[in-house]
Amino acid sequence: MVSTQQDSAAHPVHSDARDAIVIDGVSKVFRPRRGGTVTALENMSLTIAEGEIVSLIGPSGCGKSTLLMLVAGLDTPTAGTVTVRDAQVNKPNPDVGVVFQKDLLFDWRTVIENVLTPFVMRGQSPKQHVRRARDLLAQVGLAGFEDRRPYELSGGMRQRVALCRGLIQDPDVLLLDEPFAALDALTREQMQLDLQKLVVGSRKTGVLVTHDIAEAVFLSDRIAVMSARPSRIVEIIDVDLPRPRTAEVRESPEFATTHARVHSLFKKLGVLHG
Amino acid sequence: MADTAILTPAPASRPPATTKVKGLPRVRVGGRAGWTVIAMIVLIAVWAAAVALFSPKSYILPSPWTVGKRLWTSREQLIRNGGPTIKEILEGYVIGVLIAVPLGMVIVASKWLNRLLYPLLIAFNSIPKVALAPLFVVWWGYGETPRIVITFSIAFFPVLVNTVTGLGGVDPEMVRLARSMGAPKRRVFVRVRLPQALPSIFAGMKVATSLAVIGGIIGEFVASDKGWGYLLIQAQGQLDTSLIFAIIVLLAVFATILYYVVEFIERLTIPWHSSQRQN
Repeated sequence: MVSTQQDSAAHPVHSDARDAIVIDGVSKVFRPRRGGTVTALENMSLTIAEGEIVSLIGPSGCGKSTLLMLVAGLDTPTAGTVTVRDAQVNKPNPDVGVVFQKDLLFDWRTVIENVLTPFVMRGQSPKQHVRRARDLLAQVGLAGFEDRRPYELSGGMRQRVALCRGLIQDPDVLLLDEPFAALDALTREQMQLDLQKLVVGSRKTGVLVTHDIAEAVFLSDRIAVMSARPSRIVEIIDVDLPRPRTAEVRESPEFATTHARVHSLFKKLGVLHG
Repeated sequence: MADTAILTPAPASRPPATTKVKGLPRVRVGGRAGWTVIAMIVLIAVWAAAVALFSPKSYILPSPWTVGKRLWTSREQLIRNGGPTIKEILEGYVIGVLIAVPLGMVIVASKWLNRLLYPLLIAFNSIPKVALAPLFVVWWGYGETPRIVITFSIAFFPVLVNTVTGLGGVDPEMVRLARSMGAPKRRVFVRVRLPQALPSIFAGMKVATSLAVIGGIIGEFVASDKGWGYLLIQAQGQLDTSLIFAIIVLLAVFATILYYVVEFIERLTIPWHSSQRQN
């Protein structure tokens, strides 16, 4: 049965770990120019433990991305608070890396310069971080591409560069806003493996917004299923698959069961019908 | 993971370009220059054939040969008058760019200036600048000032408009990304808006080259006792058509060189832009 959001929010997987992100009673109301109000989020609460990967999955326009922008400090909630590692969020924070659906690489900068962009944007010299940038690029199979320009790369390679850029400051929290949605199925699968390696390996906390149930199951410790506007968390599903997860995990019965659970939830919510 | 090898692009198969010198992209002139020469030869041949075929009176259409001869025999006169013309055009053009680009930045950066100034400038742009030439003569006399001002006022607008549209047309998600990295507004401007606007600014600067040449000549039509524009009026009075053609050839050559100089600077500045890629 559908549990209340307060219940499910109170039970992170790693009960011993600290809370990395606390979303407490957050509402977000937009006032479009043409008048009226749009309630994107209403009294939403969610607690994410350190080192945990949580997916937000739900229909289009359910406020998943809005929630992510609030955690990133790119927008402020109408009510409630967002706390990242015990500090209330009110502006962008270098401890939080963001990767968007579009790779948003700068054409005028080389691959490695793009990875190092966050330092430049904060007015710091990127010099001492060049090695880490090279390491990150090598980890996603882009060794030798450091001095290329973005236009010389494929879509998947570009998104890998964006991922490295999101990780260059070694953030504790990585926010991913449908990062692989624009990629083809094979590239997406590879990116999911790369992401797991980079995020799980370093015990980072990850929040992934996605439309893709398989992606959510493969990458997450918990999946927060959201309903359409005004949006709320309908249920939080634990994913009990051992890590590191290999491509074979997708064939396992546990994977299929979890996938089916999310799927049936969507049917029950009326997101999927037929 | 066996499938990794297939899915990951193998860097070995695409070695990085080792010969590329940073900041100095290869400039391939040979191919395009070759085609330009061929096009010129064809044009001159058609012209020569037309003259041979219809034998028009030489004050209507002189042959290319006559014009070529005239370029040589009147070379002193042409060079003497070319100096001031080229100087006025370059001065008007450079001043136009130097004012238009920063002004465009200010207009984009300030909401109030945008509301206040931009409509005014657009309105001013819709005035045919030729109509202002007599006014400039009244204000500044027959020196080179009114001619430079006319050149400036014609070359100025495409650069301004392209600067404003280029800076304003930045992907808002790019701006959001820069902000998520903690960049203050000013740094977003310098690091994101400006580089992304450069292709548009250069496009405006290239359009402005030919307009500057027009401005310079119009200025001399209205107010001058030297220069190619002045010489054109003189030649017209004497039905000296071969001199007119000689000046037109020189103007075309000069305008083309000016255009390619700007394009060369563009290529050095934004080698990453799609218009400059050589593959």
